[in-house]
Amino acid sequence: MSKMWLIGGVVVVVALAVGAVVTALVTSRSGADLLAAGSPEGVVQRYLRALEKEEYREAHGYLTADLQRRCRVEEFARTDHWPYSEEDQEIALEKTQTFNGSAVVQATVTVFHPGVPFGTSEYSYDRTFNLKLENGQWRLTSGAYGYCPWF
Amino acid sequence: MEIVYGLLNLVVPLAIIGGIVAGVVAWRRREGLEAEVEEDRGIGTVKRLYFYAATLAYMIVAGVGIVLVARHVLNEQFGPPVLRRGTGELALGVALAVVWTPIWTWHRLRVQRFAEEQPSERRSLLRKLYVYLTVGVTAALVTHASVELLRWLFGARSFGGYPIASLTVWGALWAFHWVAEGSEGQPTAETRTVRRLYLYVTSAYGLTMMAAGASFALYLVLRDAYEGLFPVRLLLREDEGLWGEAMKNSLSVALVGAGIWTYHWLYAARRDADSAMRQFYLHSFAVLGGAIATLSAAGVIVFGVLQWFIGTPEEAEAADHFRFLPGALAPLAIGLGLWLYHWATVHREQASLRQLPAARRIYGYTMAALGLGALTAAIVTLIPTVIGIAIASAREVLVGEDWWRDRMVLVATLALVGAPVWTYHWFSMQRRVTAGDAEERSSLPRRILVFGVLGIGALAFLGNFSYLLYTFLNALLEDNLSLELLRDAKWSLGAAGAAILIAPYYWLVLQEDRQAAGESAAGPALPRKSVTVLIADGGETFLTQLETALSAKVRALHRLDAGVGLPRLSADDFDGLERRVAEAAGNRVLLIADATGVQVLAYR
Repeated sequence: MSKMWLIGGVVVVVALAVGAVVTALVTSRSGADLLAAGSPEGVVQRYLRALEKEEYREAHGYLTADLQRRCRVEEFARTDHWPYSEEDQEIALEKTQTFNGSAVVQATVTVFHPGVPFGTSEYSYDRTFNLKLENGQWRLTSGAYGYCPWF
Repeated sequence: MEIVYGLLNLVVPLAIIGGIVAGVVAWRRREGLEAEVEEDRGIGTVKRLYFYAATLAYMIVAGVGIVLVARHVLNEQFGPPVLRRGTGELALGVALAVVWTPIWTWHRLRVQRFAEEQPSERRSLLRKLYVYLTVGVTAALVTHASVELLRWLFGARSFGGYPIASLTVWGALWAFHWVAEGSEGQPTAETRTVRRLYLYVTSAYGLTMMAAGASFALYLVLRDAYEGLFPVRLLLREDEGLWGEAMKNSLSVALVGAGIWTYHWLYAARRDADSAMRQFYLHSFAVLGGAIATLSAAGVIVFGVLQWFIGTPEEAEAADHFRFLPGALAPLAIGLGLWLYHWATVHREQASLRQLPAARRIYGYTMAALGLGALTAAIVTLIPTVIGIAIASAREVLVGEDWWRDRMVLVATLALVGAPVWTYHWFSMQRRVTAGDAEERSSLPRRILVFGVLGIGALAFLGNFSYLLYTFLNALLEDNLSLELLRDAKWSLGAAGAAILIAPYYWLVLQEDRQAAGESAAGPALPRKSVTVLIADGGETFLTQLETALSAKVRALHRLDAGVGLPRLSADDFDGLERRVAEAAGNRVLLIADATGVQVLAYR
């Protein structure tokens, strides 16, 4: 009886693993994860994706006009940006708050490091993104005057 | 490469532990102490070591992989929105699960087949260590996951896939191994000991979680009640009500601990009353822990009350000063409950085994030691306080006029807590001794207390006297002798004074015990005999009573003949057996115990 349990368990595990991989592949390819383009969190998400793909011109376009003037694309591309390492990271959306023409998006960045055999070791830190409404579109602004945003 | 290093990090300590256990098993076999005979070695020690250590390691790796996959799936389906989804943990989880699950399964099936092909394998200590390490590790992981799950259910944390995944995977593994072990059984004393170790360690941390969680939850309730009844000045109070994050966390810990403790203590260990490990757990952890918690909390309350009426409280209003009460009443209630419950359990179990005097002794002398400790602390605090009151230059610098009040309150608190406890328990034991109870006088707990006090007292006196002599000589040689020396030396005077007051009393007690026992101080002790008992399964009660009668451990060999029965001896019969063992020739005695009685055979 216990042997059947074991074998059944193995079958379930393998099915789970295959199903998880398929789900992950399908959902990431279809872009189902993308948040609304016109929302503050959607803008932050697209900005981060552009940085991840090193498409700095696209990422630069998500900055406010003033910030774009202060920080040219060439300078922006040279600045050290997220992700800062090759380690696997996940950014969970915590809260979005909008005020009169400005917004604050709070997120938690979790960095995973394989810690076999006990799974992964991970650490988290909070990150806050400030946005301003410009011509009906949300754009990222930076608090530090004269410096390119580093995140 | 990291995966390889990680596996080495797990396998190497397991191999070291397994090697130590194998070494102990081999040593015991050489000494003739292992129950298995030469021809009955099962699958062999080296093979066992590999299979059991590897099976445990592979299970952990595979389990971690499955948890990672399940966590990812659950987070994907039910978790909060993410700006970026990490896939590294999924990839790692799939790799670990797909590779190591079949490997673990094969090893586990082999391990199962060992017991089926060679029934003697079920008596293997290594096998049982593997089983109970497995259930121990999985139980701990289930405990952690359960707490996190409850925290989410209560709303103290956001949804995460880990608790459900971990609880499901490790819970299933625990249940699988627990059920399998239940049907396999524990045929020898050593294997039963391993099981007991798991049960009582798990019960201990379950009890601790339950007590700590319940105590904090009760504190929150009492604090709310106190602040509702009495006006308390607060700068800031987070208004989340009684059902706040602190309460949710406390209840999560308490409920999970209660579940763990209830299953392991009340159900799984319910028929283990005659085991030494259970008695050790009860006396040294449960009863003593409850007593210490109760007495400490009582001390805090007494100190606070006395400080208000006699000492120098920092607060002007009574409501502000007594804000400590909820924090002291909560552990007092929980500690008292634990103390009374476990002492009642000891009473009930030991009475049924006719071992009540032994239990009462351990408890009584332990409580006497606790009370004596508090009294000693009172004396150590009193002496320097009196010196400071009498001699102005011996006081600490920059103290106010009323510095001595709080110090005297502390002395009174320690005395009020320690004196009744020591007086009641010590003189209860003394009454038995003076009534002629020779067993009481020579009992191990009494000797430990008396010699312990003498040893600590001698060390305390000599150590502090050395310091005082050094301080005095140093000042004398530097021509700096003055009463200001007492500022630093008064605490040493306190410790030495306590030793001078207490140690001589116990020295006299020791002399009285020796005179009553007919011992001379320089006389050699009678040599102890090595006693081996050949008895059928189920003779643990007889063995425990025999060890009490002989005041020594015995080695047990289990008879496989069917139908030989067990001996039924009265207290007088045990006294007679003790005489026969003492009178037997040589230092090694074999007792053959069955339904017809007990044969005593000397051998070499």
